[in-house]
Amino acid sequence: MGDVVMVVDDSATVRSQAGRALAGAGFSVLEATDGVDALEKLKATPKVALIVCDVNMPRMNGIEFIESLAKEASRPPVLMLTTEGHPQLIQRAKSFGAKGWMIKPFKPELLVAAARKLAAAP
Amino acid sequence: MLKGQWPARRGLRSVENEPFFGSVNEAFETTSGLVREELAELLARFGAPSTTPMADGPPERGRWIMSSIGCSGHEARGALTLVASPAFWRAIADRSSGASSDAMLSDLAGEMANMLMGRVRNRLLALGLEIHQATPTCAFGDAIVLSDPGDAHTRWLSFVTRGGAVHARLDAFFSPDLVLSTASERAVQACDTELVLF
Repeated sequence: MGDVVMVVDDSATVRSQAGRALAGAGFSVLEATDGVDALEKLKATPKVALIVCDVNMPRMNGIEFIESLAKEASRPPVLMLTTEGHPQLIQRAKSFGAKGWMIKPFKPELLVAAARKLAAAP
Repeated sequence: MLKGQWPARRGLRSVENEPFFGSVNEAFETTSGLVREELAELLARFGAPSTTPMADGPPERGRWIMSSIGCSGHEARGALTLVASPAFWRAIADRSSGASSDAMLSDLAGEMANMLMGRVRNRLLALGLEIHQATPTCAFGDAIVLSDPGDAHTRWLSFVTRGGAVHARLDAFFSPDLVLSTASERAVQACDTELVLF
């Protein structure tokens, strides 16, 4: 079984697209529909190697999610996957520990390359 | 300029038929051009490039999947609506997510509207206009009626693809004081790199 990647997005289409690309590259994929769902699933699944996370989501957005995650002693790397491109938002995500920023629509091979690099990082 | 200071509601205002404030018209034309460019680019990215020119206009009667997404800011607000047939969305889904239930096709339409709005927002940011976008809503059916855009500037943009016609409606209000320009002191270059690792 490959490393677990959690895909957090309120769009089932994006979860499906990302999940298909990642599963095809050997990752096990766990889905969450927003930040709240992701935090709950992380408690139940501690060995997540990478989180791929949208920014604009209902209930808890991606920035609020990584801000919550930043309080944890141990947390998986987070790759933001979004339509947003505002430099201030990118800087904010970085300050909360995000490891990358990817713009939608994404190329599956680029997502897989980023996932391999980030999931393997110490 | 606050919303309350904008021109009073006077029914449907089509920019083609009734010239408005010069800068508002210019902002609408610019935004409309950005929507056209970005939608063409998105369609190509999803394997449905625009093939032949088509007169802009609303969709004809038929079975459609429609997605709509709103946006708002201090100097502008509005909505983008995408309309295309289930067959069009199914063809896109086959190439991307692989899932083609009605719910997934509606979700795909919503995500497409979300991406279109995001790309247009990023382009507007570089012209000094910052707006925030909502989450998309979708409708599926054969008697879809779009709401009256009220006193918004409004325009349909239409594309022909191999999978069928795609129609986009832009509804927008702009502050009369707004000038879209790369020289604006509020212009910010949005990230357009596909992937940045920190």
